[in-house]
Parts: sequence; C-alpha cells; structure tokens
Amino acid sequence: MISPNLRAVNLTKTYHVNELVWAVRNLYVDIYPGDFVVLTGPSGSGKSTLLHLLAGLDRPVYGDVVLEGQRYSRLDEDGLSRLRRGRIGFVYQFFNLIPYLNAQDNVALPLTFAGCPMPEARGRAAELLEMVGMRGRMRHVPSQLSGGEQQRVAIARALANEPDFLMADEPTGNLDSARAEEIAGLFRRLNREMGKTVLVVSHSDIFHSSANRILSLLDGRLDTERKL
Amino acid sequence: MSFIGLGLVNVRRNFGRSVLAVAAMAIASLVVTSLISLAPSVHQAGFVAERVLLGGDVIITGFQVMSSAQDLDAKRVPDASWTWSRPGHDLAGLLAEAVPWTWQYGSMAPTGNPSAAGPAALLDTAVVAALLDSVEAHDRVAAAFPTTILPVLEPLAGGKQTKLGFLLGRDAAADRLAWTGLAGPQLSSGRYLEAQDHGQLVAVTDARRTSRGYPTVSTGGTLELLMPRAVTGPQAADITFDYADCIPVSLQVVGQLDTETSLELTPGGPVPLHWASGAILVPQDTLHELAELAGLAQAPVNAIAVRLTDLIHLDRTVAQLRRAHPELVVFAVRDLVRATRLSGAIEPVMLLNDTGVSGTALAANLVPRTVALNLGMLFAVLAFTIAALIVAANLLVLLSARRKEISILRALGARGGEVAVMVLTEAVLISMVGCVLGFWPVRLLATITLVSNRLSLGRIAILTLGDFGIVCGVALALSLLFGLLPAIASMRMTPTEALRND
Repeated sequence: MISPNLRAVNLTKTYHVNELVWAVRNLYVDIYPGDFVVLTGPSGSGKSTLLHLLAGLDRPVYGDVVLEGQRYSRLDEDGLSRLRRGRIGFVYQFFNLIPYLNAQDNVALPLTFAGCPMPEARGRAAELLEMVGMRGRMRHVPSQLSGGEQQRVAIARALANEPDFLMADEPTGNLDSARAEEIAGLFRRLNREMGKTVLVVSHSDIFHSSANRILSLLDGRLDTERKL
Repeated sequence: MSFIGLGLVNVRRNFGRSVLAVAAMAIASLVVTSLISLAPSVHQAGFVAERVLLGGDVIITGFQVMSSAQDLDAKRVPDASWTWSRPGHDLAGLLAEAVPWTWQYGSMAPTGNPSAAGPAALLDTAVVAALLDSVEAHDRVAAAFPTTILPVLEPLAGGKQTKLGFLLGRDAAADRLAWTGLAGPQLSSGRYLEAQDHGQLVAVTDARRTSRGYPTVSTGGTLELLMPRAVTGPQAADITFDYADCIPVSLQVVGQLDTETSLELTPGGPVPLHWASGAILVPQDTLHELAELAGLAQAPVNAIAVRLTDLIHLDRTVAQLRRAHPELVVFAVRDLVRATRLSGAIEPVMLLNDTGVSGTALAANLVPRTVALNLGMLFAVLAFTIAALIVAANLLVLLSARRKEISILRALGARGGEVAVMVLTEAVLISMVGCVLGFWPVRLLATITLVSNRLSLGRIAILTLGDFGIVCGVALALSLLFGLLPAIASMRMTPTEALRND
C-alpha cells in the first residue's frame, strides 16, 4: 500500500478582514507520490490558501503539513526556505519572474540559491528552457516575452532544483486558451514522464483530463473528491 | 547568481534613485579625507621652510630661558643694564617656553632634560633615542638631531646695534657621512668643515645670511663676535649668559653654504639641509673649547629636533611626548610657526628690533590642539553617520518598492539572511561609490602638495592607501551598521507578499 508523502492534518487558516474569515477549516488531505491533483472550487473557497500552506509559503493558525515525516510547524523560516528551495517547485498565475533578469538567469536563480556555481546553473537552465520550448528566448527579459512564454520560463524555474512536487496556482488563468492548452500539456508531461507530483489550483477544467484526483473545496472545507 | 551578485545588479539598476545617498556619502568622505589627509599635507607644504630652518618637525627642549625681570619687548636689545634671573611667569618666561631659540634673548637653564647631562655629538642619536624610546611615537621618528649651541652677538656696522646669532657645533665626519651619495652640502664658496678643523677657530656660514641682516663676511674673512660669559648657578645645570660681559671671539670663515640646494640624508630619504640663518657652524670640539672659554664645562645641548616619518602623526606624537615628558617643552614646528605668525613675528631667526612679539600672545597661540582635533574627528564620524543613515533610509524606500521582488526570492527558497546579504551589499556598494567619489578629488590635491614637498612617490602611495583604508573603513563599518536597518526589514518580508499582489 502506497503511503502519502504530503499530508495536511487538521489544517486551519483564518484571516481578519473586518471579521474573521475561515480560509481553510480543519482540512485533511493526503497527496501520494505521482499524484496529479487539481484543486477546484469557487472564488474564496480556500483552494489557493491550501496550496500555499502545502507549499510552505504560508503558515496555518492550526494544524500542520507533513512532508515525508517532516512537520512544517517544526521548521523555522529558514527551514521552510530550504524546503521550498529543494523539494517544491511553485508556479504563479502572474509568473512572478524577476523583471531585470533574462529567462536563463531567472531559471538559474534557484540553482544558485542551492549553491550551484553560476556557469553550471546557466547550463542547467538552458536545458530546462529547451525542455519547455524556450531555448530560443533565453536571453530575453520577461517584458520581452508573451504571457505563455513567461509561464514556460516560470515552470522551468520551478523545476530547476528537481523538486518532487510541482505546485501551480492558476497557471493558465492569465493565458488564452491555446497557450493554456500548451501549459496544461506541459504539466501532464512532467507528471507522466518525469514522475512529478503535481498540485494545480484551477477554476477551469483544462487540467481535469490529466488529473487522477480532483478536490473540490467550498468555504474552506473539502466538499467533494473525485478519483479518475 | 549569488546574493552579492543580485545586490550589485540592484545597485546598477537603481543607481538613479540612489544619487542622493551617493552624494551624501561623497560629501562625508570629502570632509573626512580633508581632515585626515589634506590638512597634514597642507602643513607639510605650508611649513616646509620653517621645518628646514629648525631642523625637524617636532622640537624638544629642556631649557628655559632666564631673562631679565624687565619687559623684554620694551628693552629690545640686551645691554649692560640687564641682570639675568630665572623667569617666573613673566612675558619673557612665556616666550622662552614657547620658542626654543630664545637663547638669543638671554640664558639657558636645563630643567630636567636627560640630555642636559652633557652635549651629544651631532647625528649621535643615542641621547634622543633614550628620550624617544619611552614613547609610542618612536617608530614615527625618522631622525633626531641634538643641537649644541652657544649664543653670540654680532655687532653690526657702526657698532651701535648687535644681531643675535649662535654657534652651532657640527661633527664634520658625521656630516660627511650623512651627505654620502648626495650632492650636498652645496657650497657657494670655500669649503666645508674638515676633520683637521676641530679645535680651530673656523666657521661655515649661510650664504644667505647677509640678506637677513647679518654682517657681511665673505669666505676668507673674519667673523668678529661677542660671546657672553656663562654663569653657572648653584646647580651645575643652571646656566645663565651675561650679555654685559662678553668675550670677543674671531672666527675665520672657511666656506659659505648654499642652503637652497644642499641635501642631507635621513632614514626618511634626502631632505634639504636644516639650517637657520643666525647659525654659524663651527667644529664640535671648537664649540666645546669656546664653551670652556665662556665658563662652561662643555657646550650645552639646546634642543632636539625630531623629524617624523610623516606629518600625519604629528599631533599624536607631540601629545605623546608631552604626556611622557611633562618636564620638557615639546611642540610641533607647524604650531610654533602659526603662533609666531599670529603674534606678528617675521621669521624664527630675527633681529631683536623686529620682533615686537608679545610673549603672552605667543604662548596663548601654542595651546595644544588636541581638543580641536578630537572635535574634528567627532565631526567626521558624525558626517559619515548621517551619510550612512541617508543610505539606509534610501534603501528602505527602495525596498518598499521592491517588496514583491524580495518575496519572490523568499518563495524561491532564499533565506532571510541571504536576502539581508543582498541588501547589505547594496548599502555597502552605494557607500563605497560615494566614498571613492569624495576621496579622490581631495586626495589628488593632497598628493600635489606632497609631491611639491618632495615626498617620495612610494611614501605618497603608502600615505594615500593608508588614508583610503581609514576613510573606506569608517564608511564600510557605518554603512554595514546602518545597512542592517533595511537588511532586517528585508528579512521580515515573507513569501506571502508575492501572493498578495497576485
């Protein structure tokens, strides 16, 4: 029996916006190696918050996330940084590339954070950019790239340190349908060919064909779970 | 790309928005560079003639002049009516403490100077070494010269006025050794003192002395002098000279030195021959014999002229010597010249009639500058502190505009300390750019004055690098200290900042 390598245990996150808002409420989620999980639900259902908590980008007010036995609550900020650096690749809706670095240096950045020498990091970045079909644009800065191209660079960056988990928050939300299909295909390939565990937050059903599980959230709670 | 590399990139792309911070640091650097390097260089250039004249940068003397109880300024020229006594705190006494060459005015009395035990041979620094070894300043001393002297009067034409001069004992062999390999001494006529002159009544004078009001005596001529008789007090070290009772002395002038071009060798390199116009060089043994004639066991050491490796240490050296030897009179030639000028004197070697110097004014102008210097350094540190604060404030503003960028770095796995390193790199780099911009223009001016002061290029390079190290070191330390403010602020930025703006 395969055991989950990422678990959300009684995860709770609240915000104070004039009144107490339960973004995520007593949530239990298990993620298994090789999963392609789509988190879906209406706006404000807590899917992005859940993803951020699972990625170690944010801390819960209650409960914990456990990655292969390692509890996030026992990690300090630097510990979480190390975790994000090595184990989790994250892709944002708005790409979040460093605007003054070209595509190659953007991808090389997490590698250098991990101590990889710059020439080597750039070589690895070139390979990753080739894999996402961006080799020809690696000298371009983000402002010279289209939305779809920027997202490819962001995906390459997320893969830089060969993480086990690839998490994406609305990765196609800012793209037209053709570019969105390409990106969805890329995620599918990364899951199936490279064995990455993929967690994607998406409003649309563009990832449904690739997913093996679809978790639907409502008011911070798990509403339904579909296994495909 | 390392975090330091990212810091460098950020400085480059945000440089336009950091101009104010760079300018603040440049101004601070300019002020501090001026304080630590330009001012001493100006001193070196500005007082070179006087330093040459007096033989060193710092004068140490254990003698105090004994003079008439009458007002020296009013009396002008000593005559038979003068009676000499130990000064209290009258004007002459103050003047005497301030100006070592006031042997011209009266008599000398040692006051505990270790070198007073007996005269030291010229260039024999043993006595001085014993004195200087006791203070930290020793390693800054390039050379030290004890001077053995006797006061004399030189009657001017008509015989109604006398010009005050002094016999300066020289060791011909030691002088020749000092001049080995150098062009000096340059003689405008005649010859320099020889070993066989010792004990002979011969002298070498300054070719320029005539233009300074001294009697005209060419090479081959005879200097007619009046040497005041010495009176020893209850203690052998108490010496007074009675100008009312002078012994006529005739010295044959064997040569005249061209002191404009003569050089002599010191550990610090060749320097112009140190010479006062009123000085008459006689062989050391001759001086001792004349001292015996005047009633002394041997010619007394009047002062020790100390040459420093460089004048940047001048004030500290003087302060240390004063602390270590409170019984001695120690002062910088630069301060002495300033006081002399402020008091209205013309030049250190002067006709008595020309002086009109108030001893009180002179002494008042010789107040140690320690307090002023400390305030200067305090001001320098304050200037850098303000500049560093401006750099830090500028970075805080820049960081608030770059919150998302830093949050992305945090989300990608950058640790707080690493982001802080990036921000500190920016603070340091902005400070260093400003520092360099402020340092070099001032230092260039200082270098010009140092070159004009005939300092070797090697020494100038060492001084420049030293000053650069001090300025950059202070700027670096303060920019690191205050750079911690934006650095800590950046450490507190979390990855969620990147998400909120999404």
